Amino acid sequence: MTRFPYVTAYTCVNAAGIGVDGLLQALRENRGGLLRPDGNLSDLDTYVGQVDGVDSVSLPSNLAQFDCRNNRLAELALGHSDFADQVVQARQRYGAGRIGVLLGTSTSGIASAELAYQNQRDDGSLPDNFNFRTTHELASLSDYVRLRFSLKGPHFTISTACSSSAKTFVDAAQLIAAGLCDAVVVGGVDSLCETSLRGFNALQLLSPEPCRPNDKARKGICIGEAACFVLLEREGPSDGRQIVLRGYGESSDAHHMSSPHPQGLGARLAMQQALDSAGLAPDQISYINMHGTGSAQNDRVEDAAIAAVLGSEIPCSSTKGWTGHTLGAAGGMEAVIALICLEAGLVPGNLNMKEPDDLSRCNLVEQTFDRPLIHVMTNNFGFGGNNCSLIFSRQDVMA
Amino acid sequence: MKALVSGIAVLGAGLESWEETKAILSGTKEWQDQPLALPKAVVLPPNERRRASPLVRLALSVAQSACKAAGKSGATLDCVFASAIGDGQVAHAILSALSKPEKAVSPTQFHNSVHNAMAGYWSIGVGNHAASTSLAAGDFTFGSGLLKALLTVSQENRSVILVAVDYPFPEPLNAMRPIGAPFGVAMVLDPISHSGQGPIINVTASDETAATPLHHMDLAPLWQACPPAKALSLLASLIKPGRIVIEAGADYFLNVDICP
Repeated sequence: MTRFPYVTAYTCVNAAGIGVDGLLQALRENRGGLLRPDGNLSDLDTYVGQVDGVDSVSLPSNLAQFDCRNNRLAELALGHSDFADQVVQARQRYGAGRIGVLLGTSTSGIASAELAYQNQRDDGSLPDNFNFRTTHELASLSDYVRLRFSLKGPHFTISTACSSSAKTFVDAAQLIAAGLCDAVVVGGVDSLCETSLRGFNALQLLSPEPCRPNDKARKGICIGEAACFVLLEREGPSDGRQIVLRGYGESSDAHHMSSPHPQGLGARLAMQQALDSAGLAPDQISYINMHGTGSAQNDRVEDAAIAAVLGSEIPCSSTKGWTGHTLGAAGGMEAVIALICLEAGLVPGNLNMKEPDDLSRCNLVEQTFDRPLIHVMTNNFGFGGNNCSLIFSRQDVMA
Repeated sequence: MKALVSGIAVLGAGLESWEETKAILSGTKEWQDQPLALPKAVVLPPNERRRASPLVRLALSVAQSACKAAGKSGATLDCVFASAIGDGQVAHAILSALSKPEKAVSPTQFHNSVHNAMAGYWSIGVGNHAASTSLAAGDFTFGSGLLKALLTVSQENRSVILVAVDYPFPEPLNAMRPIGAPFGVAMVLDPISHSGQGPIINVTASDETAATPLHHMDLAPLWQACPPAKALSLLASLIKPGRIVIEAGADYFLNVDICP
């Protein structure tokens, strides 16, 4: 990248915290949000990261047809951390046609389709109150957000499983570099649904306790829900802290649909490309937010790949012990955690890890601690062998 | 943003290849409404090939044909897979399973339910370790995929394969989101600095407020209903060079100029 896009606003909701301030407080207090599932998921022996208050969120009346858990989660996040105001101001600055909306999700509003199938009529047809295009269809998420802000730039939904929302940053950087957009709303939303929970249960990957990524006694993953949004702009703020998307790398494992490449080939390629595009040496990275799902195989492959590309000194942690694995929202969610930590000068601990895996070579952080950060890498690796690494940097303190 | 179109493949009902589609679009051959004959996904190992869904077969078939036309293996191309509704057969199977008391989701169906399943199978089939994205944008899915592909070529200076495919849902979802008929298109796009045969397209932001319609009576319904079939107006303009306008969003249009 010849010019790095600026991060000018961000927001999130997840099980650990509502809004940026809520999540920062949870990170400082080592307080995660994983609980036993309730309702139609209560039979599953696992923990989930469920966001409080989603049921009582209402969408603007002109967008009522978009009503579903996924878009309610989106609306909840948009209402926090001054994000909506910042988007409106960017629209006034640049014009609606110069702002894009690129968002990631794995299942969009599929919970609405699950309900519709459970209420099929005798002739097999689905109930009239189910609107596929505005709920379950992947485009629903990016459509909802562009209509919510009356934006008229390019808009699409990226769905590459657990790397989905990380990749929105890459495409946004390209749109801005190409001169097609002045600002892009990126991020992602995924919400709890039977498809994901029972699918991961069928793969025997769910943890019966709050997940413990990188721990030698880890028992699997916990699914969470989250919504997160970041505003990337061509121009940075004239005062205050300047944070940029400094680099990115994307790769494919070409190995298996649901297992990582045993030598972490794709993970290594993505991290190396991110360093190369950022023009940074490994020892310049201050902290790495790992994908770290809590599945032994995934954690070990990533640990070895990080050690191979970046060495064993850089503080690393997975933050999925706070939020659960938020799937298509994970990339954006962990980008927001990287941004929070860059701004606050904080290295988040690997919540729930009591004793690191014997095979681990990385510098795994047990407890959250304060330290000024300059360059932070985040990793996300998904089903289908789809990998994305991002690097965010504090431009105001760079040498 | 410019790119060299070095390989094209088309597959749909009565559209067995790009050569046949070209003849139909240029009026030298009449379109016949024949059921789509899906080839085997020969790029996959035999056990995966047997289980591949119609959408995966459609995607892998056009991807492989476009690579062949471009004289490339596909192993090093960046990948953009664009599909509005994704794998409807898999979605229906999971939703049906969840509507029964046992709620038994098949683990294979589950990992095949990700929107990037076809991209994953393609990468495994051809040994591709490059960047790969899978996107959806409703009726604007083809234009969005084209935009992303051109961003890769122009901003990263890398060759890319764009694969845009959709296959109708089974009922009852088909009644909710009908797309008419299955259709797949793939294009290999190279930076114009690369040597290669093929037309050069120049894609720019447009001030227009409507897409160029497809002037072909028999294929217009497909163009209208099936999101990837919006490519047909671009394909038609490759035969008769000129400017066309493609939808890449509800309020966002691209000019595509064909440089002869």
